[in-house]
Amino acid sequence: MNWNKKWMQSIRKGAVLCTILILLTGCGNTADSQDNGSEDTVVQTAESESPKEDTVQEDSKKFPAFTATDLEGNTVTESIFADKDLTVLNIWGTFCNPCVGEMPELGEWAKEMPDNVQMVGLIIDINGEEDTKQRDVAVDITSNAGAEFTQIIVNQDFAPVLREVLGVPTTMFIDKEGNIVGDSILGANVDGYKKFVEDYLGGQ
Amino acid sequence: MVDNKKKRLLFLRVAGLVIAVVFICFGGFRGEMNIVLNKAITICFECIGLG
Amino acid sequence: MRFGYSVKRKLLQLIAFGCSNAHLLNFKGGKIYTGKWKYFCNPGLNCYSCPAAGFACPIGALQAVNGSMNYSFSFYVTGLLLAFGVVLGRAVCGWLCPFGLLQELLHKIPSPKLKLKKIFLYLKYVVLVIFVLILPIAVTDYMGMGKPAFCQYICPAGTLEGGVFLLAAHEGLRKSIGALFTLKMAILLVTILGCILIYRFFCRILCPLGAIYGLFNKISIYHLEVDEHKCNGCGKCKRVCQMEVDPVKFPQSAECIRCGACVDACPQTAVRLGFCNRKG
Repeated sequence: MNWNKKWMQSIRKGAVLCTILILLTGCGNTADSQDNGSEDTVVQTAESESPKEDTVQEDSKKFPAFTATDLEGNTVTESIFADKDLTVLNIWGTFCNPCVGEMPELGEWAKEMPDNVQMVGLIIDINGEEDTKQRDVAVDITSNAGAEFTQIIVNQDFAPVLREVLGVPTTMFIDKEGNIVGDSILGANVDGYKKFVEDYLGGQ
Repeated sequence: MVDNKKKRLLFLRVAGLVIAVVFICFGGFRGEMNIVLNKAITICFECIGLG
Repeated sequence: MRFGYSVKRKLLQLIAFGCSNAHLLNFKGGKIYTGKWKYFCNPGLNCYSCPAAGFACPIGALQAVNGSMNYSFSFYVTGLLLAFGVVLGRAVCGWLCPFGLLQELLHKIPSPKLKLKKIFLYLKYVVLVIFVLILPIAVTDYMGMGKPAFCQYICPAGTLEGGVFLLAAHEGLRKSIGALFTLKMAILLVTILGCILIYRFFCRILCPLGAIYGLFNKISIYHLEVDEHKCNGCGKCKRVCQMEVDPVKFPQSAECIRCGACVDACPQTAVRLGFCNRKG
C-alpha cells in the first residue's frame, strides 16, 4: 500500500508541474490575441459614448470598404449602403440559435420596410468560397425562414468591424454615406431594431 | 462471489472506457467538435442572460 | 509533517481552477478566448463565456450539439463524460470543478450552517433530464435547432463567470438586459446564499454534471473503500462528511465527491481513497 501512496504523490507532483507550465503558456497565448483587445477598448469607448436614441451622426465611424459575395454569388461592395437612407445590417451565424430564430421575423420585416430602408445580412461562419457545406446550411436557413434579402458572406475585409462584435446576433445601422449610426443592438431583439429605425427616420 | 463482483466491476470499467473512446472518435469524425468550438468561442448571449 | 487530504485537495482545486480559467488578461478587454483548446471540454462546470475560460463547458457543449440542426445526440461529449466518469466519478466535483471550489469558499463565510433534506438531492436529476437532455432536442424551431435550456434559464456559473464580467466590460451588453437576466441573477443570488448556508448547495441540488458523475461512482476507478476488519463502527467518518454520506454504509454513494475528509478522520485508517483495489 505504501508504494501506492508514493506513486500517487509523485503523480500529483508531476501534475502540479505540468499545470503550472500550462498556466504560463496559457497566459502567453492570450498576449497575442490581446493585440486586438487593446485596440478594441479604444474603439469601444467611442461607440458607447453616443446616446442611444440619437439620430445625429455623433460617431462618424465609417464602415470599412469591402468586396464580397452574397449567398447567390453576386458581388457586393460598400456601395450597397448608398442605395438606401438606412441599412439594417444583421450579423449572424448558422450555429447561433437566436440568430436563426429571428430570421423569419427579419424576412417579413424586410418586405414591409419603408422604401428608403433595407435589410442586409452578414454571415460570419462561412469560410470563403470553398465552404459549400456551410453555404448550403445558410441557404437552407434563409429559404426556410422566408428571408429574401441580401446575405453577404464574410471575408477579411470585414475584420475591423468584426473585432468589435462580441457575439451574434449583432445588428448595426448604416446610413447612405456608409457611416455606422447609433449603437449596435446585441442579442435577438427585432422590436429594438424596428424602434431604432422608427426613431431614426422620425428624426430625419 | 466476491471474485464475480470484481470481475463484473472490471468489465464495466473497461467497457465504459472502450465505449468512451469509440464515442469520442465517432463524434469527432462527424464534426461535433466543430460545433463545440463554434459555440464556445462566440459569446453565447443566451448563456449570460441576454436571450 | 503529514498533509491530509484537505490540504492536497485544496491545492489541486486551486490549480484546476487556474488551468480552467488561465486567460486572465481577457477580463480587461471583456473578450473570450477563441483558440483551439476550446475543442475540448473541461471536466468540471466552467462557463465558456467566461473571459478567462480556456476550455468548453461539458454541459454547454452537450446542449449545443444535442440542440444543433443535424444531431440529437452528442457522441463526442457523451464519450468525454463517460471517460471522466469511469476514471474519476464524482472526484471531478471534489478535486477539479472550478464552481465546486467557489461553493466551498462561499461556505467558509461565517453563518448558521444547515443540513439538507434528502429529497432535494433528486432535483438535479430532474434538471439534467429536462433542461439538459430533453428541452434542447424536443423544443426546436423551424430549422430543428433547440435552445441550451440549462445554460439559458438556470446555470448560475454562466451568469457569474460570463454574465457579470462581460456586462461589466461592455455598455452595449448592459443596454440589452431583459427579463431573462433578472431571472438568472435571482437564481445566482439564491445559489450564493444557499452555498453560504449549505455545503455545496448547487452541487447537491441543481448541478446536472454532478448528477451524471454521481451515477458513475459505483464503478469509478478512483473510489472509496472501507476495510470492514479495521472499522469499529465509531461513526466518525459519517459525522465529518459534509456531503452527509455514510461512507461505511454507502462508499459508492452518488453524493460522495471523494474529498477524503472521512479518510483523514478515521482513527482506525479503515477508510481508503485510491485508484487501486485493496489487495486481499
